[in-house]
Amino acid sequence: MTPVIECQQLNVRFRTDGGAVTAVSDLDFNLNAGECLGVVGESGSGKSQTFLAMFGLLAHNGTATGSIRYRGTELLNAPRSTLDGLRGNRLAMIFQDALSGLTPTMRIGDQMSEVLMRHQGLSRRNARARVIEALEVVRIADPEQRFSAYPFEMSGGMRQRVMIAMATLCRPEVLIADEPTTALDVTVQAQVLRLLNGLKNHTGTSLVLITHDLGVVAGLCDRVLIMYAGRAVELGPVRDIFRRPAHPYTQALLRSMPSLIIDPGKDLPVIPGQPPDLENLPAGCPFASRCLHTQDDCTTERPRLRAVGPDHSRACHLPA
Amino acid sequence: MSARPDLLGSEALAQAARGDVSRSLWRQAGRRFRRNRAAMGSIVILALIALTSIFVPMFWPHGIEDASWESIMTPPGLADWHWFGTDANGRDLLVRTFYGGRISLTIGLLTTVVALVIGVTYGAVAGFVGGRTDGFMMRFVDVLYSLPLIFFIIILVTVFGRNIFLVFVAIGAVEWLTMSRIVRGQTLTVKAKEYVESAVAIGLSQGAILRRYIIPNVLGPVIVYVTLLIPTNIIVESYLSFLGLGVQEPLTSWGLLISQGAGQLDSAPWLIFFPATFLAVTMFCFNFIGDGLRDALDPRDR
Amino acid sequence: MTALLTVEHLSVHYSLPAGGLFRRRPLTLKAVDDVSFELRAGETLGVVGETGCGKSSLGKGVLQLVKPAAGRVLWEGQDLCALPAEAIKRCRKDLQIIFQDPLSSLNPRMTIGEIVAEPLEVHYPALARDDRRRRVDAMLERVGLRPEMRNRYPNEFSGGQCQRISIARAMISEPKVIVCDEPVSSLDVSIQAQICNLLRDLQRDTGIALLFISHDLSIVRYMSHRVLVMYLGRVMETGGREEFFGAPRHPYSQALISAVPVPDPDRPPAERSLVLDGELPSPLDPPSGCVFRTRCPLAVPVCITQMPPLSEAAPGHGVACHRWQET
Repeated sequence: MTPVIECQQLNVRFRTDGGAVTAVSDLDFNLNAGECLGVVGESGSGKSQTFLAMFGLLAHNGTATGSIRYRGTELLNAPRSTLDGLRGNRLAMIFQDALSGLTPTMRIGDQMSEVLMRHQGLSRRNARARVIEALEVVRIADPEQRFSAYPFEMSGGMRQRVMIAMATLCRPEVLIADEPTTALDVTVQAQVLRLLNGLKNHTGTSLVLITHDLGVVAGLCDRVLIMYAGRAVELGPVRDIFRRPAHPYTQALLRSMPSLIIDPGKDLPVIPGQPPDLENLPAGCPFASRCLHTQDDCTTERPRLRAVGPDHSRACHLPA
Repeated sequence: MSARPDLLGSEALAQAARGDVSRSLWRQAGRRFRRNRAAMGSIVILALIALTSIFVPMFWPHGIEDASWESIMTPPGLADWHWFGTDANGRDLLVRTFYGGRISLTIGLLTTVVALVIGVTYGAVAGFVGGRTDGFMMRFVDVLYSLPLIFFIIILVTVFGRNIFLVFVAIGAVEWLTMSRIVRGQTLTVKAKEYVESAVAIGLSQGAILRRYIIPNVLGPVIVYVTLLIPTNIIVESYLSFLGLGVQEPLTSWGLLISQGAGQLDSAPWLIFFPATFLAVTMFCFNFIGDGLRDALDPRDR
Repeated sequence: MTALLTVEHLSVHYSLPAGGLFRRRPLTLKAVDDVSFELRAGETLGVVGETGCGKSSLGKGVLQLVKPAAGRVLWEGQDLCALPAEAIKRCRKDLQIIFQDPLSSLNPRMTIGEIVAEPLEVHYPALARDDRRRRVDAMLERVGLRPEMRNRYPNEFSGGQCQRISIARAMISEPKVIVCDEPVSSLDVSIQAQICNLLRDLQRDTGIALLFISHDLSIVRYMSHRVLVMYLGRVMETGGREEFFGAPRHPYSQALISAVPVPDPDRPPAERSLVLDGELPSPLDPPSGCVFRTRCPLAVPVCITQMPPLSEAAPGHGVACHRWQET
């Protein structure tokens, strides 16, 4: 199977007042055609910065090195013309805050039509028909009416669905969803997740779901990448991650998560301490200071991703 | 996990060990400001201009009113201590420029103090009390805003005669309007913050909330505005003097010198060059300092 | 057990300024409409609901941080809603609050020590400086922070640490009730569990009662003994944790619970969740009758005309639905 996206040795750094911050270090992963990859991590784990780098959207004080290729085309530090041809067309991204992705002064129908007119050279009339169709797909009631609505006239859930409709207008090969449901209520989250699920099953789009919520991952993803302090700590099929988590961080994360299936009478086991300071990353494993089972080389040598099963790898020194 | 969680904060303690103790927001802002070279350079230049304006007229061999028939319209040169040249009355331009600097800077500072005192009090009261009082106070500001500055000053001057004191009052009386709006807006923002609600929730009195929560948190933008208001006021004074409504002879200011020099641009360009340069450099310095302070106090904007 | 705090028919309204030139009457937003509950010593009552359901306004109304439009809040034999401002201030020693955003709820210009000591200054002004400091240090240590950190400022701490500071500030006057308004919603998963456990520990040690407001059902289930579900300002269902999560009776509660993603890859969400269609109606113009009827799968004509009362489905389990017996 040829991967759609190949990321190799990605490093993302930011210059700040306090010195250099390493947001992502030595990240390798592939995204296969038609799969849904869940990228899980806490704030500061580098999960969003990885994909912002891929889209050329890093903040001005950030630099990315390494390689991210889309079907052989290098995206990292690519010329604007290359990126413009792909972004919004073959590669699409939706964000946590749907409002930031929509221009407040334009009618949503016009914003969406413009994407089609630019990337696919459609006439205004044909574009309108496609937009209304897309709004129907995301179950916006009254798409003809909503075509001429402004973003502020819609609820958060509706805006997020409009963003999904807009991101999928050109039938992208890759859709990156960065915390698409974090700002939404549970019942609306369920609507959006159902939509993404349908998209994956019916159009063959490869989906990357960036989230901190393992519950969302379990319901939607095929493979999961767990990130911690800018590194990949575990990568594997979703069932293995939940049934046989191999990295102590993944294990602790699963145990410490309140969910509807835990016993509320018992105290949740917590991960003690805080994630490390990204300005002063420790020499060894970034999780070592919070890990329950450390050995000598954990604090001195950085563990690399190594296979522990078919298609399943972890970055840990401990014996498997 | 035991009932008692691990004690946290080891990173912060490590920082303390590196000698990087207490990082209050003010201290952090100070550190960021000191790292801004343009702003630090501007402070040095401004201090030089201020010091020379104060001391040079005291020791210079020529006085500001010393007219000399032998040296009318002398171009700049080292001869006879007329470094910046002389004007049509043979008065030394260097001493007049520095003396004008005294007046201009004083007007800039004093009018800003007037605007600061009135504006902060008025804006903070309006914002903190809120409701009908706020509405009434702000409509009054709107009415004053709608009066053109020049019109207002011409009325003052025609009624009370030409007087440097009137210039202070007139500029200060107009510039506090913007200050009060800024302070009111800022007070409203801070008042809506959760930490103010948490102060109410522990039962703190209104006075203590105003003193500990509101004022320290509105100070930042006020400081920035003050550094930008001083040059604005200097410019306003220059422009009034240029129109003949500001400082009167024999006193002088940069604006007045520029106005006089403008009439002799062809024959004696130095008469406009020196005061205009000093004025422009001062403006640049204040603006750099203002920008530096804004960046230092509100690092999100960068 | 007798109730520590009793809330009766509480309503919180906000009047929005009249907009436009011709609309003279200001709009009234009924954020909380006729809500009653009891809070007992040592228990946690979880208040759940989605954005705009009025759960935060309920917490603030109980503490008189917003003035309720109607109803009573009975505390130690007095009605807080009828007390003068000075008397309410004295009660604040016992009634505290923790906010959602840990950083913005701490004054950035004060040190941690000052922030935590402030309630002592207000309520125990006679306390000697040394005693105060000792109590602040003990409290910081109790919430898991080093006392040496007392001279530092909030911006030097992470979100989880700031929330510990907020908890220390709320706990130091030894209150009997704390309203926790989404206390862990802005924290990372691994930090959420730390804060939840800290609150549970403190409750076990001090017998404090918590009004735990959250949109996250998993966390409410972990934290609460009893649950209250709100929708558009009204109570939909209330009951003990086991009864509520085991057998929710209100169609809204059922939809809410089934929409929570379960961290189990063998239970795909599309099959088990009962997805609610439609949008949340505007709280400025709520539906007539039952406020949930526009999205309810069971709605019948009577739901349009009549507001369902809170029926007792079982002792201590109330459901506001005309058709609760069929669910």
